Amino acid sequence: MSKSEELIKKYQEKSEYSHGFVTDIETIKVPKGLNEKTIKFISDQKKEPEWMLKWRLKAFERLQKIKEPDWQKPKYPKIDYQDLYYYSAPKSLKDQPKSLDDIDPEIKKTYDKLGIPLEEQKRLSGVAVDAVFDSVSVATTFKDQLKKIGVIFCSISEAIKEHPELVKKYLGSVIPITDHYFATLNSAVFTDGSFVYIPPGVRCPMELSTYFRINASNTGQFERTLIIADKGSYVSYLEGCTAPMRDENQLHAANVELIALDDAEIKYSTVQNWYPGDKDGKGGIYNFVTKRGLCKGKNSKISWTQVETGSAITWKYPSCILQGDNSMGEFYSVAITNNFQKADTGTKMIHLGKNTKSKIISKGISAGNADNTYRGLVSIHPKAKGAKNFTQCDSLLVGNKCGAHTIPYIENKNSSSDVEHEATTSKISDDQLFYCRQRGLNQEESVSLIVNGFCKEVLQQLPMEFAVEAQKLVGISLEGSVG
Amino acid sequence: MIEIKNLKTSVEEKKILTGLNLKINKGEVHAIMGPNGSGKSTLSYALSGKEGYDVTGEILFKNKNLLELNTEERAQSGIFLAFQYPIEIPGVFTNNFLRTSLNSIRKSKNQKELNAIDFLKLVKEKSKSLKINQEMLSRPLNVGFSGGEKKRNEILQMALIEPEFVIMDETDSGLDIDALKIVSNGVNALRNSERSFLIITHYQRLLNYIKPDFVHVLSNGKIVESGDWKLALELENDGYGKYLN
Amino acid sequence: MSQITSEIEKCFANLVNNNELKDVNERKEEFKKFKNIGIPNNKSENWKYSSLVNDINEFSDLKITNKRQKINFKKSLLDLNHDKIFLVDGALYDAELNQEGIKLSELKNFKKIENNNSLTYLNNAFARDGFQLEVSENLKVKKPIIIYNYFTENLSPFSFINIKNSFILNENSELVIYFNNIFLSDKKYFCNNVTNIDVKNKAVLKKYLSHEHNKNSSLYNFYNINISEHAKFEYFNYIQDTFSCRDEIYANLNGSNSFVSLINLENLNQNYNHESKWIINHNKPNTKSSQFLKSALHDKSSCVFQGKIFVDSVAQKTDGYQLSRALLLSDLSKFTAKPELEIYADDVKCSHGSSSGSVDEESLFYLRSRGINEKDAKKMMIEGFLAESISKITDKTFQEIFLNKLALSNEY
Repeated sequence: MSKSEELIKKYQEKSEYSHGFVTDIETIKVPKGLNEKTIKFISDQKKEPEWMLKWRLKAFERLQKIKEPDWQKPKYPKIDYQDLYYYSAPKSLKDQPKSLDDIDPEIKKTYDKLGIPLEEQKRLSGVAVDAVFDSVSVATTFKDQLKKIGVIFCSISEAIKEHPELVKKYLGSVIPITDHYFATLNSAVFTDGSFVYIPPGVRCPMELSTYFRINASNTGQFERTLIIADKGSYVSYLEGCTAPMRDENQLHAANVELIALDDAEIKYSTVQNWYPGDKDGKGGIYNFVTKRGLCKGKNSKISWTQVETGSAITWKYPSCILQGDNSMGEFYSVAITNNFQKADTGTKMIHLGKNTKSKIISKGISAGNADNTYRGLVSIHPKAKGAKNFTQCDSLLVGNKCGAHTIPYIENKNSSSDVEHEATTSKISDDQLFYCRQRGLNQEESVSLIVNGFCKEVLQQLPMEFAVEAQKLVGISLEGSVG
Repeated sequence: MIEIKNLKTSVEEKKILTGLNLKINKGEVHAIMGPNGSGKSTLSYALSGKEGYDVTGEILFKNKNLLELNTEERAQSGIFLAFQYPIEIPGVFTNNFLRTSLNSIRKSKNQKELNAIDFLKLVKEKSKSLKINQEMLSRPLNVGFSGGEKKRNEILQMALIEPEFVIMDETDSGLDIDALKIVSNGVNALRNSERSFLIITHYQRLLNYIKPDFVHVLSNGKIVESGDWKLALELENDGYGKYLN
Repeated sequence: MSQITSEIEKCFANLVNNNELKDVNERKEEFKKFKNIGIPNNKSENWKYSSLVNDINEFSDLKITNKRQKINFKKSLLDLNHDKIFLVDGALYDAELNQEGIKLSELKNFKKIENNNSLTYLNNAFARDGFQLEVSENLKVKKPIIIYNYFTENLSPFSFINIKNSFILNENSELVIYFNNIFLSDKKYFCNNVTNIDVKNKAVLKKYLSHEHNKNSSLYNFYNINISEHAKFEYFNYIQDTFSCRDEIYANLNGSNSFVSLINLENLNQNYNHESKWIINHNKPNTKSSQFLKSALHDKSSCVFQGKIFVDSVAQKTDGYQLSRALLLSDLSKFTAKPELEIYADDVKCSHGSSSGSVDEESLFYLRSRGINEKDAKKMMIEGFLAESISKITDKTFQEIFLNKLALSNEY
């Protein structure tokens, strides 16, 4: 057995998922099954207005006419949509808690354990949190403080009731209900998620964030996030997620829509750490997410940063539609797959407006028996004069049982535009490892250092609070996989 | 030879040259020195007609208004710019490029174009006298050339074209002493009573090898002081500090 | 069933009725496979960007050709000491081979090429014309062989041509081939070619092609290439103004230390289009591949490039390289690329790059500052851009031939 194989074994044994506990609380669940009754139940639980229910039912009608896609690289056993729970909420939250004191202590404890205390005084002052537990939003911190400067930050359920004019105008405007199977499914059955509106000219003074937690078993999580940055505003938004260790695969099919008007900027960062399944590939989350941003106004900017370390299967393409002239889209991604994890992720940059720019930096790391695919589209439309794109996709393989794939689609229909794509595949070289170790680092630290260096360009994009977390996560995710 | 009057340039509304005046007579060598960002390279581009610069004022070259001519027309009328960073063009072979360039210029002067054989003879002769390795010519233009090779290639082009007015844009940057000698020997060999030079440089070093008749200091887009070659020595000792702000 | 499929079915019925046809059952079997898939269309991923399929789906009439007529060969012969093979409308017509150890035979009988692709099934079912060229062991063929393929006026419009050729280079042999397609007719037809190439241990095959001024016909060229230990295969295709053409190459590096190099030069005007689908399978350790494509797109022309490097988990120390670059020279030209990597081994060096855009302004300025006018400078840049493809050719004689061809073609 070679040195690297030995190490692989050693790490595999000790690798573990530290967020895998279950919170024991009573829940309200809608009976299993995907049907109109379920949708009506969800809408009813949320005390939604009639128009929202109609919208959901329209999506459901559409859903029955379309098929689940199957072109993705990671294949999975057929999901029985009738055997899932579509709504699960802690019983204690049946009536919206008025204040943090009303929240079930078990739930509060859960968030403490995850390092996300809900009490404002315990939190870093720079971050406001909307905490989503299974199908409902538990609490949103710093809400009042934000309200004073006109920033709306609340659960989407609340926004539907309190700000219907904004929701009606923008919900489904970037991801229409007819889009594709999982997006349509989400439109029919979404339960909760976050809503953000930044008024014109306001620079949101703190990071906004959502923390998603799946707790109940056999339950799909379908959250919906809508962020609107009005003219000249700025917001940085963070998203984190974890789930208990369970033997079954659980479906997470979220929709995230971003809209940036003239001169506005949205920075959306994700550190995805859903339960990845055990080292034999049993269990784990199916993370099938639709994220799309519309740079609607001129000079607007949307930037996606993602660190994907969890989930059994990650299948998502956070995208930008660059409609406004001079608008800009960015995608920074680190996707780490280990053991039997699979990822098929990337982005789409659709250049419609003049002088639009996009930048894609993707780092895929594959170890164990995992399979990691970058798939992306850069499309320059004939009217996008002066458009520019730069894409860099790098893959790192650790061991020879894993796979790394790059599938870019490049369509250039404008002669005044420049599109550059580069991709490389490499491994951690023995020389690099030797050099680090000669300087006194152990193997584990060396790998973490080298991989972090490999991902640096992306990790740098994360807000401070997340960057440290993400760096640790990069190291941890690769335990058991040194090559 | 050339007279520059109240030359102002801006790029995307950013003002760079703010009213530069300079007169260079036949056979003179002028040096322009200045701190980084003073507009040295912009001056070379304004003279050679690079697009993207808003230029106002007047440049008279051999009594013709230069500003009315495009890039290649200026080159054909006798202006040569030795680039600070010669451009790499993969796939374009150096000797093919040189011949096309030379013949374009000859054609504009109603001179006979050179055929391949005559051209090769000429190149051979010139590169020999400049101590330039001919092997360079069969490679794509500037691709994979070392810094020194690129600059030597510029000098070879200059020797072939025999321009009347040469602008050297920081030709000395990144050159070791041997390359510097080759470059300056090339320039000195071409110095005569009919040809003028404008040498743009940050350091005085080059001027030890190519002794200028006049030295000017460029700061904030204007010439702020002029003198003979001793001025360069002063600058070397005192720096540009007193011209800043 | 689409119009074209029923036309093809009619043609096949005619073919089967011909008493002289051999291997009827095998052909019927292949035809059945074709019918199961049908003529490709843009809905399938593999043919998503294909103009060829749009083009052939518009054929409303098809005829299979039988007659070949003599034409004057002398006209287009290259001034070079070489052996010759003459093809008329794709079929073997005549040959002048004066070197020993080279065996040329007709390929009339059924020969199956395995690939799950409806057009290769069609070729398996239809092909009765073609040749096999075999080079014996240890023979380093001195003179290049030039294959002149004339598409003649005698072709009836809407001809459906199926050709299958085979090249075998036995151990330690070497050969340079130039496959020169010459279009003497502007008629519209569909030509479905399948080529099988075996490069045995230590053998070297250099195959150069040109495909110029095809004004109306649709061509599909499928290559299946097997490369053994220490063997080398080099492919260069000079493409100038092809109406509609798709080249699909599957190169299998089946022996360690084998090498494949695929090179394209494309210079397209008007509404001409060319697509390439190149798949390189690194099946053994220490194998090396290179893909290099340059495309200059004028007017309404378009180029599609789908290139893939596949590395099997046993193929450690693979070195895979791919570069595709396009110059978009008009607002209506189009470049589409899908450069893919699929890698299952960790100790590999694989990279790909793809870029498209306009002529570099800095370079243009440099040339103009040397007195070259804008039009000539641009021409020079395009020529230089394309010449990079030619510089990848390892045979110096042909390098020069293609450089001259390029210089002449740019005189417009």
